Amino acid sequence: MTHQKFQGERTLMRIHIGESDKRHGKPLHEAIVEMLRKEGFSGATVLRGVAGYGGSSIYHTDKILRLSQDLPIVLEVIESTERIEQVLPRLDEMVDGGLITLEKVRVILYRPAKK
Amino acid sequence: MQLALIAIFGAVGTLARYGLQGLVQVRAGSAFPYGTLLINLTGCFFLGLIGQFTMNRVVLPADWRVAITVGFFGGYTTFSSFGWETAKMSEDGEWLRASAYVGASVLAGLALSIAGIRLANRF
Repeated sequence: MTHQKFQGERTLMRIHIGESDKRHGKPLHEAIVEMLRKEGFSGATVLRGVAGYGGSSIYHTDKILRLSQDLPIVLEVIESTERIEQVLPRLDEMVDGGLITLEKVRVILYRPAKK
Repeated sequence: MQLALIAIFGAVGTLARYGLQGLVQVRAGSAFPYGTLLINLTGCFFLGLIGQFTMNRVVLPADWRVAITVGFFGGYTTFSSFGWETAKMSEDGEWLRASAYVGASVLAGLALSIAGIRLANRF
């Protein structure tokens, strides 16, 4: 997969969900990454938090095993505003409970690793 | 799905403890609880190993990780959860909380065991 030169002002989208969120039996974060890849997005990164809470106010932490069942997941995606806005309706449909934020960022380097 | 996995893994953990504890205790031929000690120590080590590995790397779906750490090791020995939680508090420098947890679990646990036994002896 090749990408056009990708520098300058872009939009960073952060999607906050839970580790146990599912989409058709598949982890939701995997389903979102697959959807973004099919859409030709430049990249996506999935991060797992060690602790946190969301709209339900239930605290999740890896320190207490019983509370480690739904650790926070954050997906970070950087793309043009237009492209991100195109997928927002699909994300709205996919994400049951969660948080999506957008902010402006300046991309100074984006290139694939040299083989 | 998650509850079913926890129940299945919990049953496997319980049977593993029952089998290994019995085997060791019978072979030791001693009144010292070698079987329970072995279960507690191996549970702590393998929960630390498997729990940390599966938290550090996304090698297993969350449901399976929880089935192993909460289900299997919960059935095998809850002493491993005690070890994990104390180790995690210590890692974060929460020495006071860790000490209070160990103290309360061991001393209060022992005191309550004695209390239960003495109460039963009254009947």
